[in-house]
Amino acid sequence: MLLQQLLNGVLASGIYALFAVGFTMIFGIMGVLNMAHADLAVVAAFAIVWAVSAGFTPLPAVLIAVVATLGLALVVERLAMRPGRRFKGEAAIEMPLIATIGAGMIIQNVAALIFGNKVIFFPWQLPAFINIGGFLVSQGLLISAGVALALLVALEILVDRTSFGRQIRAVAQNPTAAKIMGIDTNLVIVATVALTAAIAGIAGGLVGLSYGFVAPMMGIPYAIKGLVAMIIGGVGSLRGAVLGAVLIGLVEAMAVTWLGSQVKDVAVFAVLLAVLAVKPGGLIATPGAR
Amino acid sequence: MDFWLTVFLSASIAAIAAIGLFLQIRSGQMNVGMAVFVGVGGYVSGALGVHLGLPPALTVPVAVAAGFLFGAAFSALTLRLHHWFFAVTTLTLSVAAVSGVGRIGIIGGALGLTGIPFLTHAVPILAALVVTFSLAWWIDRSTVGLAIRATGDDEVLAQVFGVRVRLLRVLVFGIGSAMAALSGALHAHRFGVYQPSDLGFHTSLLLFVYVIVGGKTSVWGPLVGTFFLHLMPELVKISPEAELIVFGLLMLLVAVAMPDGVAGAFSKGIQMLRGGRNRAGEAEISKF
Repeated sequence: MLLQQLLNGVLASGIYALFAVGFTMIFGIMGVLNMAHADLAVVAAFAIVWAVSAGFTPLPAVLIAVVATLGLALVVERLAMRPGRRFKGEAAIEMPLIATIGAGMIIQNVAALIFGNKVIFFPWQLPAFINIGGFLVSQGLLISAGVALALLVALEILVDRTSFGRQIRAVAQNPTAAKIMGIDTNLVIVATVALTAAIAGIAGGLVGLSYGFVAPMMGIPYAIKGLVAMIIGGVGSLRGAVLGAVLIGLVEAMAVTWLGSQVKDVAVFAVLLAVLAVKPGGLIATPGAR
Repeated sequence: MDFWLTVFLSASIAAIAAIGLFLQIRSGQMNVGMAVFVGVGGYVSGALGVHLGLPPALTVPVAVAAGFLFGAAFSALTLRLHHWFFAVTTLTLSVAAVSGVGRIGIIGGALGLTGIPFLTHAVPILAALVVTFSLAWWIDRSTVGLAIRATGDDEVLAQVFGVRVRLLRVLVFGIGSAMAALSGALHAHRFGVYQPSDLGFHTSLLLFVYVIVGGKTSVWGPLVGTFFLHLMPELVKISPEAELIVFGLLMLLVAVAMPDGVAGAFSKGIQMLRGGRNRAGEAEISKF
């Protein structure tokens, strides 16, 4: 029973990890949190819901979702995050926090206004359970975890091995020095935001696929899990974010098994406090992180 | 008339918590989970009334004291956290509290605490608002207020200038939480019920919005913000979703263009009207 739950926890953490790496990449490169990040998943999911109900076949539906998500992410970056770079000190931190919270409120409630503030069935579902070696595994979560793993490996290679990845790391370490070296920092930042938006969009689709439904406010719990995973893993570290996500998945599974499903959120909070008390820099501390 | 009194009293109760949140934000502690600290007051005062039969006049002060202790303890535990980390921790607390409180049977569990003794008269509520505002005004104007601002602006620099940053953070957060608890207790006695969902993200977010949109650079900010955002939706009559879209747009606008919020823009406008000529004169002089 416990093993079964732990397996589910690990599989569910794939989606959390996708959100966590998005938060951590944006934080790493700009030193700000995009509080509207998880709401991009809502945009992608509802774009698919709309496109399918409007009669599009899967491929164009996904394209519509990609365009909507990336477009909106770039608007959020331009309106809510970039202006913060004018400021120095506390204001540079507060301004994007406030602005992206505002942007998130707008996205959630526009979705609620159009589709109704309720749970909506996702057109593509994989609710079936399959039996693997005596364990019942949700087909959707299995695919989610697989997709997440593939994406995370690709991301790690992209950041670690490619010239674009080198540019990202340069801007993250020191934007001014990167600029002097001839890197177009704005372009790198915009590209990073687009990349994380794509990941969030995929995560939104996977949520719909695995659980069978989506809701305008579903970004909030995923935002919290992604943020907590990022912090307990160590801000600015991709592997830390993944480690944090797996930890949250496992803790949630254990809390559900022993204490009941309502205690899930309390357990996540307890883990956050415990990790911050012991290792304030997170489990994998990155010296370069701001 | 009755309707507007109801709206006015709701705004007054919310403003008490918003003023407390203003002090916390001023000291650099971005609390995005204020509803939990409000809830401490609501549940403490409510549970004492329900289980011991004590009148609000006795239980509200106890709730305020509990709010101070809870806030100070939370702040002391999270002293090492800054900015984002503090914000995320409070946000997580707010979400966790909803399900956590729902498990505690003595305060009503998931259904909420019901049968709380009523206190619906307008006078105590307005008196509480006046006292809270005056206290915050006095703190903000005193040298302590200067130290709070310095801490919020740059903690290390404040420390260099001899501000006892850690003590100040804990005390200010405690006082802000005490104000929140007062607000929660009044809310509980006004409606006779307190529910776990009152501690959640939505309530926390709204309080945060009131302070930010009102302006976080003057005590008038949370007051103006709370009343403005309570009255505006009633005057315009829009759906709750549309209301939150407008709030979101206001947050964007304040963040990008008017960091002093609605109250700041208002006082700037008055200044311009008063000293418009002087300014023109200055501009004239600066040409030479």
